[in-house]
Amino acid sequence: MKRNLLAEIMLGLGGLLTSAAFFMTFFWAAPSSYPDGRVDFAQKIFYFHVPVAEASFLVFIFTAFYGIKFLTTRERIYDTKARIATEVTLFFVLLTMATGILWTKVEWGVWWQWEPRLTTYFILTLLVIAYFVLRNSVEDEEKRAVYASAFGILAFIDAPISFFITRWLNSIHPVVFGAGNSSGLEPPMLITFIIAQVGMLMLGYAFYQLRLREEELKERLEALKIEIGD
Amino acid sequence: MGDLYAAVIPQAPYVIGAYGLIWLGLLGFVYLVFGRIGRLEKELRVLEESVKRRAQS
Repeated sequence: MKRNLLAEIMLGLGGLLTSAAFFMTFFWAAPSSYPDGRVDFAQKIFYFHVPVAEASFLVFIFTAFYGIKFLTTRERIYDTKARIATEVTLFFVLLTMATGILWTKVEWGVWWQWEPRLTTYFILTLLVIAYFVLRNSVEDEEKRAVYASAFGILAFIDAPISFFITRWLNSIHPVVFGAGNSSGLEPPMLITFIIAQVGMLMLGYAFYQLRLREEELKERLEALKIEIGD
Repeated sequence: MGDLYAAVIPQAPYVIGAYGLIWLGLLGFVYLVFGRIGRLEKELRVLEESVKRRAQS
């Protein structure tokens, strides 16, 4: 079985970049301050919370993309690819929710706030979980793939809504990028963030490819078992 | 310095918790997937050899 060298390189590079960003977060990027001058140590969560959130949105694109590919071609591999993309999305969604809740507790004094970004992201979390509930509730393989593809495409609509909602509606959730001409981040902060973001996307790609390889191995094993059983 | 510690210490458990969860998640994912891939490759090698032996006999 051929190894996916690119996935392993991306995993190594992604690990290296996220590790570097982790050290840069605490030893290079200056801590942010509140308007009254007090140190905002919880802002350090931003350097990994935003990259995992962006990764969840970007990986989810592949759920919709492969869903469309499956519905137009009916080739099973696209359903498998859409499922794996959704699995990786779920992984990033859970990390985003966990880190976001911890940040919210420090900054807003509550674990949860029903404001536009959190609400739409919570809906996204439920939709990603519902994707797997739907898959597990349909026994027929063909129907399961069709329903899951259609659901994945529809569920993806919430991702751009969740991303842009803080720019459309009044929200207490911070908007670092796209709210004005500048991010307001000092160069060390911006560089640290970019390195964490690139590293996280590389890890996302590697996770997707590794899970795909696992699925290919499983299919090959099943085929061989059938061959031996004959 | 005292002000810095006063600001950092109450928030530290949340920051440590956030980074702990991220690293645990990332390393856990890699460990589990590589573990499963390793087991599958091993099983596949055994079966492929068995198929080869059957074909030769």
